[in-house]
Amino acid sequence: MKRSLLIIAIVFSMFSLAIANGAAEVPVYAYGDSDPNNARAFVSMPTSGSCNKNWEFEFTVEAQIAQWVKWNISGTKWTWFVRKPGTYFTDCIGFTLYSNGDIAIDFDGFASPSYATGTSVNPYIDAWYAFGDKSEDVAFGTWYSPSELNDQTALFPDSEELHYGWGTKLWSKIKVVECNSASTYRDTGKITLTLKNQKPWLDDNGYYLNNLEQFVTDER
Amino acid sequence: MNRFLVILVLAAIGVLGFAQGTVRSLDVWEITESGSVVQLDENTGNARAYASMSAEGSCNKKVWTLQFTTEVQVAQWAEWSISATKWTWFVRKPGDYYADAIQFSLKSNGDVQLSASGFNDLEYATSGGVNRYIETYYYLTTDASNTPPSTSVWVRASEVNGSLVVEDSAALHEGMTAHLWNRIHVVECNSASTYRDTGIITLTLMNQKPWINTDDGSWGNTIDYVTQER
Repeated sequence: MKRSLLIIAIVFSMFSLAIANGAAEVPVYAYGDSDPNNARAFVSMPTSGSCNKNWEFEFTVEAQIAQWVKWNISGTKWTWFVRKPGTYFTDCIGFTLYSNGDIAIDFDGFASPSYATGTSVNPYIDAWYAFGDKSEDVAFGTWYSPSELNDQTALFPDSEELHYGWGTKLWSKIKVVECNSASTYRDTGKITLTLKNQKPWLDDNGYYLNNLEQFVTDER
Repeated sequence: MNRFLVILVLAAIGVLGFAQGTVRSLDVWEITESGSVVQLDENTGNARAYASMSAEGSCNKKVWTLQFTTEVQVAQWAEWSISATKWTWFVRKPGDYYADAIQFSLKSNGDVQLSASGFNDLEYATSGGVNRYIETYYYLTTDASNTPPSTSVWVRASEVNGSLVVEDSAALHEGMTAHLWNRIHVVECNSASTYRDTGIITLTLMNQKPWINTDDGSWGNTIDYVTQER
């Protein structure tokens, strides 16, 4: 009995809030290249009065901005062709990231490239990764082994630089030894970008939730 | 319906945000054994690298995952040496003689086929001669102790012709050494003169990559061998 009363009370209070809120979606228009589908607007908290006094009432504009990201990477695969053993590193793959909030980048599944078919005297090629702009800085800088890379989480805090585009270059180093038989060696890892400040009214794919009006509040 | 399918596929690609992009040739540096860094020339260097399969995304999706691949295609290399390619005998009287070995070393990172052709008994170099041939034998061994071979191990010159494959192994990567012995049987019927035979040994790298010009080991058109395999 008590539980039923409690549920009824909660439902009633929510209904009351919705009514009080009075949120109604209104059309959105856009200037220039702006896409009106990227914004939705609601009006709420209507008020009224009827008598001969002087009236004053608050008026609020609230914009809830979702986190967006724009990124590009000039390649997601390095293909090396090696004629003879040696330690080599290569010019970079460029990565550019724009966002308006914290971004975390995780690395997973990176390993030494391994013999793609059959067996080899040494089926692995040692590989490392580095971040940087110039070869002279990178050559003797910090190189991450695949396992070290997997342990890395790069956090990019919200900053002006991030809003206007932060870029780096990825470098690849391999050490081919005499025990590596002639063949193809390959490894594929995963890089995950996570938007850390995403709004709760977007789903995981960046689409509006159906009940967007529930995120219209009475806060001034 | 077909149009709908095409739109659906394009939309899926758009949502994923992945684009194949072009294949770009990259600069490559080598860190030498002495620790110095040398930028490699595209034609003379021993490594080339390409970047491909670019990707991009732009929307509010919370988590983005992209695959990232490093692929190394290693060509077959061979490093070999032979301490001599000619035996010259000086024989004063008939007899059955054999000589200390010629040393042959081979390193490689794949199967190597060794073929011999044109080996025969030594033949009188000019016209004439009562017996124009000198029986010739060879013996190939990995025994480096320089122990004189027994009489049963020798292979007649004509039977040397053929091929054998030295299979990829740790020993081959580190370098194998063989010793080749030579035996001649000079008989009384062999007239005084010069007898000679020249054979050909051919080394074939059996696991060579298709982007190597097999004639001279120079670079082929590597960019054609950049694939989309992950």
